[in-house]
Amino acid sequence: MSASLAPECNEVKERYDTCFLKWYSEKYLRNTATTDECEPLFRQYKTCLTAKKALKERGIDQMLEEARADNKDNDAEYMKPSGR
Amino acid sequence: MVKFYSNTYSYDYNFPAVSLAYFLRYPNPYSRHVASTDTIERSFDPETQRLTTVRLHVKQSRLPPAVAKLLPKSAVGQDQDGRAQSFILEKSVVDVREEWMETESKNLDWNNVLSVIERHTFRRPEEESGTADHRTDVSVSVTLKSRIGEQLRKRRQRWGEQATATSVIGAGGEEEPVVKQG
Repeated sequence: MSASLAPECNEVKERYDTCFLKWYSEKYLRNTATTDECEPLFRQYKTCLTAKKALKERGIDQMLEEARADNKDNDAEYMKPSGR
Repeated sequence: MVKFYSNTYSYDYNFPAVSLAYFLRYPNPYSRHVASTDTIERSFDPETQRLTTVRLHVKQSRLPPAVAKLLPKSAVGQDQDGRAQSFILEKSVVDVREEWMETESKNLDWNNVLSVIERHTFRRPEEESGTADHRTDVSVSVTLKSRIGEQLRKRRQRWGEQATATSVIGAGGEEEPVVKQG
């Protein structure tokens, strides 16, 4: 299993990943999934990432924001009619 | 400045195996530079049976010394060994009913130098080919965009326009034709 960027979240991440892979291969890929059963574990994992400020400390949340803003700029620049 | 690369390929495995392998591709002995992988968003739509995932990969990369010298330390954020981290955002959508998967990966930092967007589309082959149960077609496209190159091009364009305005008086205000790249 791959590591988390925040080592303190490795344990909860591993629990979630194990759950997800089981659900994905045994239910989702067989077309029998009705709900995302691992969502409670995902919430715990995500809480760990945000509580430990794992994303914030590394400046990732800001990069995510910039990536979203940049997409808007690019769309505006490249999607406008070229006039030709 | 934009460069574009694309390719198609066919895997010898069925769609479920390929889509599972996509989520399991790190860690692996051939990609030791990938330090971590985190799922930051995931949503499952029971109606369409589509699964959307956003993951964040952290890669360790080593810059060529010549490049490291050119860039300011603050922009590189590397340690003494010349190692630098970079962040990759990967978004994927899987549709298990229609048997396709679309993915898009891009770098979050270093965007001023080079931004790389890599897209994969995995698809079950057409039924009549008779290979749908043990093959998956994939098409890959990579877009490379450099903002440094763009700045240079814009500056060159401005010089060109100024030069025409001063040297060719009464040219009827016609603009220099812009050479489009990419």
